[in-house]
Amino acid sequence: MNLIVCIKVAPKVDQIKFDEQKRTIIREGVENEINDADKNALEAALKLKDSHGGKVVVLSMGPPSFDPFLRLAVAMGADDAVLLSDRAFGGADTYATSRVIAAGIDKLKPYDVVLCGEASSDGSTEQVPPSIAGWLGIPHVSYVSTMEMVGDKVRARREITDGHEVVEVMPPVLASVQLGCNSPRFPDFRRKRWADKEFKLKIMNIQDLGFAPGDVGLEGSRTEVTGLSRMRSPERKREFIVGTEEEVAKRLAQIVKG
Amino acid sequence: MSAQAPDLELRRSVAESTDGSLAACYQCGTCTAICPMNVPVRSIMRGAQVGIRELAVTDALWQCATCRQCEVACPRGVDIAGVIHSLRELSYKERKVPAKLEGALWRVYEEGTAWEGKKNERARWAEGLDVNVGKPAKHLLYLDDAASFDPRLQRIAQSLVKIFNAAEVDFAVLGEKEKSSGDEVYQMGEDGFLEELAQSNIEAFKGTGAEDIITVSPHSNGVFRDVYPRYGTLPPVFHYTEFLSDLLDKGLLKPERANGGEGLTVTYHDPCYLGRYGGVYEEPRKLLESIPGVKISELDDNRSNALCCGGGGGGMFVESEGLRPSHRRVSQAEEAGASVMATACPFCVLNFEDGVKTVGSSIKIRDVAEIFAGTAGRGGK
Amino acid sequence: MTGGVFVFLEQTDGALEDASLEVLGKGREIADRLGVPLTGAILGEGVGELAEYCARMGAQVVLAADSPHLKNFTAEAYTDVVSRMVKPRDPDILLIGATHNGTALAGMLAVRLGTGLMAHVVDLEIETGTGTLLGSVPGFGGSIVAICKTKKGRPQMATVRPGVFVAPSPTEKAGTVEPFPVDLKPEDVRCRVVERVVQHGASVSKAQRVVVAGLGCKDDLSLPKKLAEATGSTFGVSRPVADKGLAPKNLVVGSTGSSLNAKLAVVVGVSGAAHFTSGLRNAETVVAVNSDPNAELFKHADYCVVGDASKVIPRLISELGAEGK
Repeated sequence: MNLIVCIKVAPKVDQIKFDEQKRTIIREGVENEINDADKNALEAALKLKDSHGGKVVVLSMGPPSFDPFLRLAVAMGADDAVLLSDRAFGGADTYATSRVIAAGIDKLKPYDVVLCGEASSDGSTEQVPPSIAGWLGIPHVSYVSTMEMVGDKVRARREITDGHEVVEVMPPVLASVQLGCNSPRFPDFRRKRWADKEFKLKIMNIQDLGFAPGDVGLEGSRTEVTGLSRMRSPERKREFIVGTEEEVAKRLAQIVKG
Repeated sequence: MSAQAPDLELRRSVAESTDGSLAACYQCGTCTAICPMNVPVRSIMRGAQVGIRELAVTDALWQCATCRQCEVACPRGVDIAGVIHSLRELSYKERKVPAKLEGALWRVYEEGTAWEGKKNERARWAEGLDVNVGKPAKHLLYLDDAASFDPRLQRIAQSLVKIFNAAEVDFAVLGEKEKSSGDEVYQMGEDGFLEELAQSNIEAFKGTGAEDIITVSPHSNGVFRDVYPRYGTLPPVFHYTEFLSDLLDKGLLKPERANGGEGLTVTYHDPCYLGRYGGVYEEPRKLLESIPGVKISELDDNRSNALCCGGGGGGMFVESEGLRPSHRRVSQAEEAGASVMATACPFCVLNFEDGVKTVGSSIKIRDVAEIFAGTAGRGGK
Repeated sequence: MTGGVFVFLEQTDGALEDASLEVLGKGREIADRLGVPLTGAILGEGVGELAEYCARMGAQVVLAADSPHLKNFTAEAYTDVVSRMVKPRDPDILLIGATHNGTALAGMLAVRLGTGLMAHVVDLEIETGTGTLLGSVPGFGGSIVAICKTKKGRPQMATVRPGVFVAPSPTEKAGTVEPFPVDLKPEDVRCRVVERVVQHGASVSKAQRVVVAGLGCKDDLSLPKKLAEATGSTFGVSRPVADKGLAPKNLVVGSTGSSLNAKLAVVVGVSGAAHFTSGLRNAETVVAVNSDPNAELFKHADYCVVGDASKVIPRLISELGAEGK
């Protein structure tokens, strides 16, 4: 099987700070990590490879600083890694991002299953996977928790509100994988030493993908951000109810009855 | 069981890691009988001796709290904990590991802690306290993950700061720069990342210039003492009870009267990693008895016979609530007529707090440091 | 009829998604504000009645695409049909409720239509002067909101977070239903749904009142269940409780389960890790009971009780019983 896993390297959300004055996001000193759901996607791909044999390639769009994370993915068991990197790709919305990633995937033809995490921890739009499928003209199955091959078809279980579905589809197909649906394997650190020192990361730029500057990045985006503000999570009262057991029960009953 | 060829690689691997200790086992079964975690120890040992993979590399390996009570009972001196560890290494290579522990491994790698928590919140426990964070000092106080992040356990380190300051001890903590000792990494049988983590910690400790390291958790001691020497040299490591006992001998500690002057009957639980692993039994008792008004009433099964709380060997991360012997220990504390059960390990504290709720006991669970800092007795929050 | 506002109306097993009604309501408001028509689209098998209902709820025209191939949602079939509806009508604005399926549809559709999509918006406004649609898009775990607009392409697309807007009231004059011819062959539907198990009935995410039980209930869920009964609440659990096999996964509240939209949520014996509390965000009032005074959950609650659930809950139940509900 030829499996491609799209991973996003995202900033650690808890370290992000918001500059109230300038109304911008402060990224300095914020550490990055492989988006959790993409780790689940990679684990799902590696499980398929364990059962059915084949090759797993990880793919990401980003600056050269993503390099160590792709090597980490190789240490987890990916056979190859490709970084789509070019200044022109910067500032992309989900439309332009998915377009570039789809082009990268296309260069890796033939493929059976493309896997993505269902959403990223920072943007969490969930739009990139279906958009990639749109560009590639392949079906998309979302919120996948487990997958297997049945004959030459992919059988995927999707978790949906209040239940689940089992779907069968002929490859090629894109599956977006549910956060937390499996336990991502910890990297093999001996393999990681090799991945860090000797593995050759493939890099593709705008020319390799055959795009004009207007197609990609900020210019190629179809949406734009006109401003940022802090969203107040609902301010909870945090009122502690104290007293005798009876007093507490009476007060609670009051609150419950509204 | 159908006939099959023995797994020679399994045999060889275990024999090598344990210096052939398993050969002495004659299958008496005392280990299984005495195991507080219901691990089928005898059959695991048999599987490893003969080379029967299904018996040796089994899910039950992860129920083991590595408490070593089996070793105390073993008439042949078999390094049972060593065999279990060696089998866990094999299990890890096959990826047969509990998912929660694997998640903890990722956390150690990405956030420097096995316990749930974020790297940049690691020093929150010290907010508002008079404590030296990151500057050179004679002693390095090392908390490890649980005591840094768990709200119940943060009180232990806070108590130690109070005691150290009263005794004018020159100490510092690493704060946000502190990283996990890697005990859970070791317990999982992983050794690639462990090597990097150990080397990084050894560098960090050297960089503080501290003469010695004082630990809050005996589990940190365990991995520093038994595992880190493979990767480098650490300064001497002491559990805080050893350090405080030394200060007491030097007349530098002035324990306050406990419980508002009413006197206190305390029982002391020997943590496995402080007692059986570290040989430290008398120092915590000495500290408790030095407090005016405190009387110690011993638990059945004390010192090297102590009954494990179930927290070691990765036990804090593995769901085995039904199996944890902490409830039984609380009952023993009630039988000893104590109003407080003292211990000196963060995992024991948490497990006994759970045990008290399950059994419905009014016994208070306190770490020795908390009692010593005068926060035991009535309430002590 | 060209231009105007277009709304995708999602049905699941013959019932309209609340998110779609909410989006229809907002769509109506925007269309009225701009003085333009509102068109709805509904896909499925046997959707005539639902289409009529939506026509009474404010859509001037409801396009009904009826086909056995559309009975279950598949991204490729739905994208195909909706794009063929949208292209000739050239609407200005296209809104979709951000359910699982709605989100999947929107992503593929935006690429098919070559247009900009604002995802999971928590607010929509029309920019004065330009008439441009502005969407508030949350990010970074929900703590930061970006105001976005479609800068190129039409229609301006947005998926809307469920629970943000309100369902519409019936209009005086009902709109019309237009059957939309569906030209799908079996091979056009690439994903075949071979099994579908949905527990209809009390849905945690749709319930107005919920009682959630965590590990602090010590494996005994009978008390929180009794409380749920006594308060007319739906029963939910935290993820670890379901993982233990004590409750089915569809009752899970949190990032891997349902988000609550309840007016009242009583949370018992849950410590309050981030992956759980994210599910409480939209609950109006949260009451938390936990024996640990330092439980993280208390930071996310309006009313906090430090105590043993096995004592607090029975007292509360008898108090409620004594005075009648």
